[in-house]
Amino acid sequence: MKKIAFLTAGLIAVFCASVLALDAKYTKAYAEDLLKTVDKSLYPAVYKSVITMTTVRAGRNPLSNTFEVLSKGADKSLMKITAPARDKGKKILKNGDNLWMFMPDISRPIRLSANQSFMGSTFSNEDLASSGWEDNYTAEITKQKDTLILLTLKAKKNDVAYARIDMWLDDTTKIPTEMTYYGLSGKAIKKMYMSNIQKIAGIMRPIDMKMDDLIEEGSYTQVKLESMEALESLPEYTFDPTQMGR
Amino acid sequence: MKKEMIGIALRNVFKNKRRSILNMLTFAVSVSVILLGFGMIKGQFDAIYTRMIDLRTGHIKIYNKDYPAVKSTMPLDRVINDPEKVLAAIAGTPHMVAASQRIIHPGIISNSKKKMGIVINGIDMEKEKKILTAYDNVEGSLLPEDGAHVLCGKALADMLGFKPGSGLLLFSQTSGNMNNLVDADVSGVYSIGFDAMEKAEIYVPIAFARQFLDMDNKATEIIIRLENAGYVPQAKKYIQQVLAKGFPGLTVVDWKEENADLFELAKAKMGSFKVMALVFLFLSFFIIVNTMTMSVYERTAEIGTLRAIGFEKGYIMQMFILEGFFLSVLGVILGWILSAPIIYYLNVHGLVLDVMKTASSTAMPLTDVLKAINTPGDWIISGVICVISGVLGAYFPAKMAADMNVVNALKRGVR
Repeated sequence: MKKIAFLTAGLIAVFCASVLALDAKYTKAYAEDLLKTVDKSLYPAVYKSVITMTTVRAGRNPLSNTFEVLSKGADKSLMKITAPARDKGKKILKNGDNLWMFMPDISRPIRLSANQSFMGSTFSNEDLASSGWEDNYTAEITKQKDTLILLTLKAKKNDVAYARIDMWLDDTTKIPTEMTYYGLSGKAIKKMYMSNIQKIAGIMRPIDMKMDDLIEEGSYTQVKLESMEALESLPEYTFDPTQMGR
Repeated sequence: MKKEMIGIALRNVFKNKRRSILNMLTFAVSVSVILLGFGMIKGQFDAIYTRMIDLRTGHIKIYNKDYPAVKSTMPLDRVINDPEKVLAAIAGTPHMVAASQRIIHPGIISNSKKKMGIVINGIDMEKEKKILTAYDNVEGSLLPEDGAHVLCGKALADMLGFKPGSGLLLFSQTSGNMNNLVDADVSGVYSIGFDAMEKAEIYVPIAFARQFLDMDNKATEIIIRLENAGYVPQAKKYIQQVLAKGFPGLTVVDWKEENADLFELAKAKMGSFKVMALVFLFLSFFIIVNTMTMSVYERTAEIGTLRAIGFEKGYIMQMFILEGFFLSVLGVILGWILSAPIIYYLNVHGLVLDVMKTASSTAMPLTDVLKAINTPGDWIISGVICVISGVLGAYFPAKMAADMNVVNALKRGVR
């Protein structure tokens, strides 16, 4: 009996080691390079896109919005709501660390807090506005499962949204498939799934994203990338809060 | 003023009893409404202020100078550094019962199936017990010194199905704006009969709040309880002097400044009551104008005779004004007598409210017993206002009587 137990344990250990053992190429430098590539694989440097966002919360009617997005670099983006009709004309601008919302009924843009939920969704304003992981996080490959690798991002400083992000990605496509966001305590807060990889704006990108809220069971926000077009440039006034009413 | 004139005016008051009683009753109602209204509004707001002091604000708070302007956002970057040092420095504050440091910050609480926005209050339980009464009625236990334990309100507990010992998730952003989520449990459920607070305010040990919000040795405020509110000016002055010497970056706010929005509300409510009181006064004014005018018409011949035998215009006018004065004075006295038992009852015993049922859904905390507050000044002011309105009401008919043509008045009287 003891022998069987010992044999079973040995087999499990060998299996785990074969699954979890990392290739020699997965060094710290490789992980850091991979992080830069991931940033680029998700968004072109300058682009225009259309997305639909649907939020589901237990006991509430689903909330759906369509946005036209103009983005330049990691820190400038303008989102215009095009549907539903009641929200049409609302705009959300990110410029650096600042966020504003413009509503047609109110002439001046209102400042938003990065921590606030974005339009009642599972995403915070910061989730949508932030990219440029390489600036804020160190990367390390901590697991490997066939072509999938787990990139563990750890915050370089304590003023970023998440203390740690676990990102499963396909090493062949360099596209993330699953990301788990952790708080300072090490507890998971949100989980994002990326799927339906298609060629869009020149390269393969995930079309569908789903963010699960781990604080409220069954609540999630689904984002679908309807179209994306890489642009040469966008004028600076596009991201000027004083021009949001135009 | 001649004695005869007073005699004639008084006789006229009692001559037409029905009309005079109607006049007096309108003044009696007006004076009663003013007295009761002022008393109840003052009593209601006094009760609310007392409850706010007991449940939320204490008598005095100390903040970072930049905090009050952005208090509604509950920031963690405008704080009191080394609050223990400040507490030691203000230990000699006259008539102070207790002082305690706190951390206030918004967050989210969840039973994992449903989440709700709340305000996290990091407190020193032992000291807070001496400052606020919010912890007097707790099912389960009060907070320990440290650990992920939560004291939540009954209304919130009912909504999320919490009982002492229930597990929960607590989410917020740290001082560096990093998201944080922890497992915690309910140590106790407090009941204060004020839904708005029971739903929104949760309490955690300050040591845990510091760790959860990455706050090191900092606090967002210091709350102070005095023996009673009357000592606030003296204690505030002392603390201001202490802070000016050793902590120039801090400021003192008393309970009145802390509840400024409530004071505005009280002013608005008093304003709307004043409009109501004016309506009653106008009614009294209108009735006295009307009845006195009638009286002038009825007594045309008498006025004509008086003028014919040498009474001057001013004398006639004074006689009618005196009549209005007597009617309103008698009305005020009647009003005082009629309302005195009610006002006594409301001032001494008050209205008993079942706070847990009736007041729990209001936006402001009420007490179990709502007492009116009437000072001697209220009695005098209400009486003076009514008498002035009575005299003013009598002026126009009096002028009409005085200006009457003697021959025409006598003619009408002969007819």
